[in-house]
Amino acid sequence: MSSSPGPGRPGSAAGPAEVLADLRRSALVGADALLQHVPDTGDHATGRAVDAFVEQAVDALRALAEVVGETLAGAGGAGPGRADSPLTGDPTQSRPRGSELAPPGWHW
Amino acid sequence: MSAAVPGDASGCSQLGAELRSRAAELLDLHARLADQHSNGSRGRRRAGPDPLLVEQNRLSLDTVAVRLDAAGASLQLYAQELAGLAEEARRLERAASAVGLALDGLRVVEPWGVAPPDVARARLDALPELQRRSERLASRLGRARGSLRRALDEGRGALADTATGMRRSLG
Repeated sequence: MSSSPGPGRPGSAAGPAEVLADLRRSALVGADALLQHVPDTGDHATGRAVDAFVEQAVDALRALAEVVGETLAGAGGAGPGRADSPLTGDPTQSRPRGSELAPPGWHW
Repeated sequence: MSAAVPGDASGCSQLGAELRSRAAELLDLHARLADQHSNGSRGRRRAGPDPLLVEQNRLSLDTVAVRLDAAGASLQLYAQELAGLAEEARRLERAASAVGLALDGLRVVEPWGVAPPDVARARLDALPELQRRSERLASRLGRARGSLRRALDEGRGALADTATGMRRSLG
């Protein structure tokens, strides 16, 4: 049984390229995960603030994945950070708005 | 959830936890990059990505992670407050109901219809205190919402600046 951690695992001897590849993957997976949440805050204005924050957080995570992908691409090409890698997330994916959840006629 | 205090505390808490969990994962990666940077500074650098770009990536990563964590904490705090206020609203509804009054949103109201004089007297006696409790509740709810909105708006602005900076660096 091997006791050495796999590439990209904490505590391994992974180099920066492996850590950056993990970072890029984490940013894209995180962006998609955030889009799955549509909480009802109970208030339209607060719901809009949540929607706007989540959309901006998703954009920032995707931007992070893009710059990390560029760093990796500049380091030697066909690594997991290539811009044409399948792991790019779906930039068109969005979420329903939590601020639209409240039924009509409610008093906030 | 209470009709007087709408909102899903559980859903807000789950988004807060997701944000904090993602932030923790990013901060772990930040620490690993910092280790790499430190090793590189001590002359153990190996071939690979440009250290300057890696360092820029690490700084952007830090900003994103910190903002996600702060927003997650704010959402969790809001969820906690929302759950507490919903419970308080349910107690208020029970107290109002006990004297034949009702809550309309966060307003204590008398039901339609004619009440016997003793019942009407009891309602009038109870109404001011119940209304004060209701107003305190509404005030706390407004503060909780305002506080969350301010925290999220601030975080959104910082993330927008960071995302713009990152994309600008791509040229």
